[in-house]
Amino acid sequence: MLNTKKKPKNIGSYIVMALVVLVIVFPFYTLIMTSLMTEQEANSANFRWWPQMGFSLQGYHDVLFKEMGGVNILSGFFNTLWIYIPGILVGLYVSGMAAFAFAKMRFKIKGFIFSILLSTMMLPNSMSTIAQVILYDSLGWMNTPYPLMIPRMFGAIGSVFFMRQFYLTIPDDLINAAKVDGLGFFGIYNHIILKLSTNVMFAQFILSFMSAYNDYLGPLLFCQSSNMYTLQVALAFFAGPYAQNWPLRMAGVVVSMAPLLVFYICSQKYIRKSLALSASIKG
Amino acid sequence: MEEKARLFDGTKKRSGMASMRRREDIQGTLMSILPFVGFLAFSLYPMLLSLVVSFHELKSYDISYMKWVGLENYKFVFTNKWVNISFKNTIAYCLSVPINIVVSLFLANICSKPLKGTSFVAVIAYMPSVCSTVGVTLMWQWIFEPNYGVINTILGYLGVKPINFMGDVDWFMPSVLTISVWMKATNILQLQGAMANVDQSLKEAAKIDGANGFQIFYKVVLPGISPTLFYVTITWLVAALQEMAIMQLITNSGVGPGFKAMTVTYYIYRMGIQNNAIEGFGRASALSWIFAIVIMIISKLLFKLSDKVVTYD
Repeated sequence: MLNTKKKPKNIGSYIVMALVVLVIVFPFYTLIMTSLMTEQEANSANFRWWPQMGFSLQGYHDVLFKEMGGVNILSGFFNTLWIYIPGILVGLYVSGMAAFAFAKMRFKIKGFIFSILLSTMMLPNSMSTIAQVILYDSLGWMNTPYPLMIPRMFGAIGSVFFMRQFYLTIPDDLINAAKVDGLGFFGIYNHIILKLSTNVMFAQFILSFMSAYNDYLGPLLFCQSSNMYTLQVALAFFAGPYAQNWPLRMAGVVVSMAPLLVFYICSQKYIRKSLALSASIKG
Repeated sequence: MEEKARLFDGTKKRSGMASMRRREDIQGTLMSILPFVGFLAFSLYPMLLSLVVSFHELKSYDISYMKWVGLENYKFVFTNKWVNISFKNTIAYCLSVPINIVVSLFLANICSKPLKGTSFVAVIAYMPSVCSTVGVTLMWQWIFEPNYGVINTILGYLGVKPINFMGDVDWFMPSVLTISVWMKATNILQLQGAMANVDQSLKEAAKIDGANGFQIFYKVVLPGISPTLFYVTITWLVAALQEMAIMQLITNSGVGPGFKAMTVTYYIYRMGIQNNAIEGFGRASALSWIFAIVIMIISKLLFKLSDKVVTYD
């Protein structure tokens, strides 16, 4: 009796789960199928569920090796890497240092700075973006990678809070012992704390890199010269003149999404854990 | 003699402590100051700058061309019909927030069930959150394509005439909301995490008392996750208020059918950057300040409301 009562309930859950998976996966399916079609087939009267004129890698070939509309996706990819990664790495080091100071040191203006940083998280950024354009222009930074690079080097407030939470769990004895050994706080951070926080730092790096990789409005506003296009801007402007060449455009989307998606699927356990952790701390 | 020595020792020690304190004070300040400096330079300074600019006319990137106009820009913002339209469109897009909250609560609840395969569903469901707005929007542009797109093909099987999802005034916002649900409501990590922390024994007790699934969700799970739910709601709402990327991409940087893609953030961007020579930074800054104040009032109100609704433990 109990069994029969339980079974239909679970079946309902499984049907819903199957529907959810279908709704998530279906767009990816159309994306990949279209990217493998010939242009002629993609623009035929109906959507073809399977390429009937045979698979074509023309779209991928053009995406990787050609400039379409003056933009190349692959160079956008490399631009994204070299523009964002230095800023993120320096920023992580700086955020970690500030987090360590907030967690383990005593100084007069600690409460003041900390409460101000806390309150900035609620400020809407639409207020500053317009004037940032003026600021960066006056510094001569417009259409250079600096606006995407330098502000990140001052650390991210979210990372400071996240790492502070972690540093609070480090026992004071460890720091006192290092002090007895003659290390200053700066030395303690460089020689001891950084080594202890590789996991936290790596989690923060992944988070920051994912948001930088997918950043669109930043480069759109500040970095408008076509040889500096980041991946997302390149993708948005890519194939402008070839708007009806869907296999080409979809191949561009696949190429741009693939690195993060593959990385996510391969290390999803780790990524989801660190994402959930940082989310719960922010909350 | 001995006493003197001890005294001497003590003062020395104390002054040693004091200098250590001072060193810690200076070191701590130096080590923690950089994020604060970054905030001052790249957030606070531009904010104040835009406040100043909002009282001026500035049709160039160079502030030396600034011309005092007093409250002229604010008058413009309050009387301009495009501002009105852009606020309406922004509110229409904010409809995505309650929809997304309900959908993601539903999804998170399913993924939190003690059933086989839920972790697989959770992994799949998070995939859109890893993708970029640009990629996702281009993908949906193809799905919504009026002639050869998948949805119109399926509608064709059912004998429905093709719909111009992105070009029709009435279909534009529903299409945008669909993309938003697919991309943003599937970000269930936080809610799922909160649901995992809900006391299992409470659920069991409710079950023994004869509560059905919905009652358990409403009476036990929902109060348990209310702090997280509140946090998610407010961050999603603030983000939705400032959304422009999806609509700009789907209309190829235009205003959309019936100007439906003209949100407040886009209008600010359009005045300040795209039409700088005609509208200028002054008007854009005035609107961005008004808009920021609106956003802050809304979040303040939500926080007030949360004191009544959210249960912390």
